[in-house]
Amino acid sequence: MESWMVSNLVVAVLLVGGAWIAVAVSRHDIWRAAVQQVWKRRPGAVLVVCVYVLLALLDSVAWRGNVDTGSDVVAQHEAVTLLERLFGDAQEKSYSAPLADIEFYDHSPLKHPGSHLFGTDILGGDVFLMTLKGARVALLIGGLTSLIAIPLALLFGIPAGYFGKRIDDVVFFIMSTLASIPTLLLLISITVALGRSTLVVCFALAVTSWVGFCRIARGETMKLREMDYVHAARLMGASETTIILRHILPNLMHLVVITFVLMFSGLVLSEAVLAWLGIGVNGSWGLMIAKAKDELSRDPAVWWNVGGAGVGLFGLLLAVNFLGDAVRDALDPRTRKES
Amino acid sequence: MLAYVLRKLAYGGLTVLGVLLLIFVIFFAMARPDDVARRALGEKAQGAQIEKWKAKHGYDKPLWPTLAKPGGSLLQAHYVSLLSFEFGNSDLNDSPIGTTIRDGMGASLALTIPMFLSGLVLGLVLALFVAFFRETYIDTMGVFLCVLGMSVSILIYIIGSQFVFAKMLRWFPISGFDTDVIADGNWNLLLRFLALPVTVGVLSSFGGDTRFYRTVFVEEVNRDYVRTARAKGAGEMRVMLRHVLRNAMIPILTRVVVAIPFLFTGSLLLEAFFGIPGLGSITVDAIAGNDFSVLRVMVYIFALLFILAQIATDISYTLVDPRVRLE
Amino acid sequence: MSGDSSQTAPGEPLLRVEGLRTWFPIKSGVFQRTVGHVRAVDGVDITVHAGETVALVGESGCGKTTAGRSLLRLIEPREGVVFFEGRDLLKLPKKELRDARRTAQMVFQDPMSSLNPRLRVRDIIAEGMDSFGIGRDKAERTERVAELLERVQLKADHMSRYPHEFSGGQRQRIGIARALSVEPRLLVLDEAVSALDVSIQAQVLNLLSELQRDLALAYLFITHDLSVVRYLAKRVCVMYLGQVVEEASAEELFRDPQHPYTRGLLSAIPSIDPDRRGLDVSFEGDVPSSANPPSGCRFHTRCPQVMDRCRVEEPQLIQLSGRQSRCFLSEEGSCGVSLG
Repeated sequence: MESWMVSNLVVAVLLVGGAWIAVAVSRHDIWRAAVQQVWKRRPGAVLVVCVYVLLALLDSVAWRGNVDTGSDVVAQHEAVTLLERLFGDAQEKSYSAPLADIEFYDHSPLKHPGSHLFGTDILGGDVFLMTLKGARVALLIGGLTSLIAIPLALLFGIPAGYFGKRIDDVVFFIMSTLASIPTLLLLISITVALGRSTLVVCFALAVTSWVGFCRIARGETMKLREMDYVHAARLMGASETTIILRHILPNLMHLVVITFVLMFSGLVLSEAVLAWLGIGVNGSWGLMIAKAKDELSRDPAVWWNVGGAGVGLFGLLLAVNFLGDAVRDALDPRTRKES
Repeated sequence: MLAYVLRKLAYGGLTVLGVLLLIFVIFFAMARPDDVARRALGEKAQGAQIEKWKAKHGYDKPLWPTLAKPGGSLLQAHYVSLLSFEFGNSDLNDSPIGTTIRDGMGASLALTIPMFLSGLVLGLVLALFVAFFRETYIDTMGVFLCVLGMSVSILIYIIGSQFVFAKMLRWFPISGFDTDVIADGNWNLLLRFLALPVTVGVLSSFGGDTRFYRTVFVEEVNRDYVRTARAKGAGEMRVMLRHVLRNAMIPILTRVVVAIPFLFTGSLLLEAFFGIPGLGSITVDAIAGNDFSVLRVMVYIFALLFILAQIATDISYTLVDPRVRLE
Repeated sequence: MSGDSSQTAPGEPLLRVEGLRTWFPIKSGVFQRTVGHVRAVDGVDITVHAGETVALVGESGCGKTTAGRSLLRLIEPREGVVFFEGRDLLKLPKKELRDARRTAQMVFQDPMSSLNPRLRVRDIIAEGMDSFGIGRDKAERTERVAELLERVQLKADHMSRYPHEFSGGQRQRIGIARALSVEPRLLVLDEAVSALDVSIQAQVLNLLSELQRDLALAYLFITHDLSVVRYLAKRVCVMYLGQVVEEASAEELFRDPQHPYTRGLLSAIPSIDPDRRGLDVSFEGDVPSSANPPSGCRFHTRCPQVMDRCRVEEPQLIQLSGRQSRCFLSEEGSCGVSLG
C-alpha cells in the first residue's frame, strides 16, 4: 500500500474515532461540562485549532488523478492532496515577493501574477500553500509523539504507583536516569543514532517527553490507590487488573487530556530546533525556518519564507497554549499551574 | 541530615551508572560500530577498511560482555573511559576531546552567566510586578505577553534579531566571538559580541519563566498567613517581598538550580548561530560530522552536571525549608 | 438475601478478632532501614455475633479505622487472628480471601471518595454481583440493583446517574446498597454517618436498623461519636492509642463507665440531664504519638486519676462481670469517681 493510501485510511480512522469521542463526551456530563467551559472561555483558540486540524485533514486526503492547472490538464504521477487540489496550480520558476507580478531576481513576469499571498520560494512553490501544509506536519508530530509517549507513561506510571515497592523503584530509577540527560541532547543523540525519519523524530520526542507524564501518572495513581472506592472494589472481589482498568485509568483520563495539550507546543518547538540541526521532518515549519538563515542573508533579503512558517507556527502554538490553560482549569482546577 | 545528603549522593551515583548504560545503548547498540564506521568512511567502504577504522578508534571489541569472556568488551571500555574522564580522541579529527571541552567552557560561561542572571532577575521582578497587580488588566496583559512569548520558536527570535539589529540597523555584529577578548579584558568588544545572543536568550525563556514565577507567587499570595500578615497591617510591598517571595523559594529554587548545568552546556542554538565557540558549538559540529565520540562525552558531562545540580537542589531545600531538615 | 450456607459453628461468634496488630514502619537513614513502628493497632480483640451491633469508639487517630480495615485485610496487619465465619482471614491466600470476605463488606466515611465518579450508579452497585457471579445475567443484576436502590429508599431510575448528582446522604445510601449487593452478613461501618448533617444522620441510622432487622445483619460500627452509638449498639469497645481500653454492653457503659478515658469521652457529650452536668472529666495534654506510646498505661499522661503504678506497669484487660476494663482502678473493684 502506498503512503497516500495509508494517509487516507488514517483520516478515516481519525474521523470515526473523533465522532465516537464526541458522542462519548456528550454522554458524560463531566466531560461535556468541561468542553463547554473551554469553549466559553477560549472560543478563539478553539476555532483556530479547529482550522488547523481541518487544514491538516484536507492535506491528508490524497489521490492520484488529473489536476486542472488552469491552462491545460496535466496527468500527475504523484498523489495530490485535497488541499492542493482546492488551492489549484501555483507553480512559478523561482522567488517572487508576496503579491508580486514579477520574479524577485530576474524580474520576468509570473505565471500567476498577484496571486501569491506569501510569495514563492526558491523553486517557485507557493509559500502560503507550504505554510498551510505545515499544519499537517505539526499535528502529525504532536499526535504521533503523544500516541507513543502517553501509553508508555501510563504503562510504567500506573503499575509503579499502584504496586509500589520494587516496581516503583525500577520505574523511578528509569525516570530519573532519563530525566538527567538534557532533553535536547537526548533528542539529538537518538535521532543521530537511529537515522533521520519522521518516525524516528517522533520516537525520540516521545522518549524525552514521556517521563514528565509518567511522574504525574505515578503520583496520581498513588493517590487513587488509597481512595475508598478502590478499597470497596477490592472487597467486591475485583482483581488488580479490573481495579486498574475500571477505577484507576478512567480517573487519570483528564490528566491525559491536559498533558496532551500542554505537551503539544513543546513538541512542535523541539522539532523546529531539530529541523535546524538537519534532523527535522520534511515539510515542517521548522525546516522552512531553518532554510531562512541563508535566504535572509541574500541581498535583497528573502523574508517571506520564514515569515510564512513563523506565522503558521506562532498561530498554532498561541492557540494551543491558551487552550491548554483553559483545558487544565476545566478538567482539574486543583492542579498547580506549572510552566 | 547527613544520612539525607548521603542518600541523595548514593542515588546520584546510581543514576550516573544508569545514564552511562543509556548512552551505551544509544551510541553502541542503536548505532553499531559498523554503521558508525560506514558513516565516517562513506557508504562504499569495504569490509577491510571498516575493520581498520574500528581498530584505529578502539571499536573492534565485542559489544557486550559474555559469561565466557567477561572482560574486554566495549561496554567495559565505555564505563572505564567515561568514569575516569579519559575521553580519548575525536573519531573525526583525532583531537583530544578533553582539551576541546575545556577550551569551550569559557566561551559558554561568558554567554550563559549573564544570560542566566539577567533572565532570573528580570523574570522574578516582572512576576512580582504582575502578581502585585493580580486580577487587574495589568496581570491579564502580562500573562498574555508571556504566552505570546512562549509561542514563538527560538529560531525565529534568533533569525529575527540578527536580521533586524545586525543586518538592517547594524548595531551589533551578526555573529562572531573571540576567546582572546576575555583574556584581554576587552569588555567593550565582549559586550558588543554578547549583547544580541544574551538578549535573545533572555527573551526566548522569559515568557515561560515569568508565568511560572507568577503562578507560584499568586498561589502563595492567597494563603492564609499572607492574609494574616496583611490584616496585621503589613504593607502590600512588604507582604510581597518578605512573606510571598520567601515562601515561594522552594519551587523557584527547583527551577533555577536545575537550570544551572545549562550554564556550562551553553545554549546550543545561540552559540551555533552567533558563532560562539563554546560547548554548544562543539556539539553542533559533532552532530554535523556524525562524531559520536564527542557527542557521547557531551551527553555524559551534561547529565553529570544535571545530577550534581539535582543533589544541590535537594540539599538547598534543607536550608530554605525547615520542614525538610527534620526529615 | 439470606440463605447463606453459614460455616459458623453453633455458639461461635460471626467475627472473632484476637490480638490484632497493625504497625507501620518508620524508615530512616541512608538505606531507609526500619527504625521503628507506628503502632496504629496494637493488640485489639473484638467479638461480633451474628445479627448484633458492636461499636468501636475512640478519638481520631486512635487506630479504630485502621483496625476496621486491617481485619478485612484492606491494610495488611502484622499479626493476630481474625476468625470470620469459622475461617482465619489473615491466613487465607489471596484467592480464597476474595471469596471469604464477600460476606463482610464495608461502608466508608467519605461520601465523595467512596464512589468512583466515572461510573454510573448501576455499575457501582453491580460490580460485586458481576465479579462474584450473583444473578444469572445482566438484566437480572440490573433488576437487583433496582431492588437494592429501593431498599435504601432511593429510586430505581437513579441507577443511570453519576455519583456527583447525589447529595451526601444519598451517596451513603448508594454505598450501603453496594455493600448489600453481595449478600453480606457483616457490615463494617467506618464512620458511615460522621460526614452527614445531623438530620440526615438520623435517617441513615434508621435505615441501618431497619436493614439489620430485615436481613439479620451484624454491624461493626466504627465512630468517634458516642451519642450515635447509644441508639444503635449492643456492645461498645472503646479504643485508645491502638488498644481497647474498655468493653461493655452499651447500657452498662453509658450507665457506669469504668475506665477514666471512657468517663471523659462520655462527659464530652452534651446532656440535658442535670445530674450529669457536674461531671466534667476533661483531659489535659495532647494524644501521645503511637510511634512511641507512653510506658505503663498508655493513658497515664492524660489521666485525671493517674497513680504511680500506672507509669511503670501496663494494665491488662481486667474481666469484670460481662465487661472488661484496662485500668488498675477496676482491679480494685473501685469506680474511682462516684456518679451522681
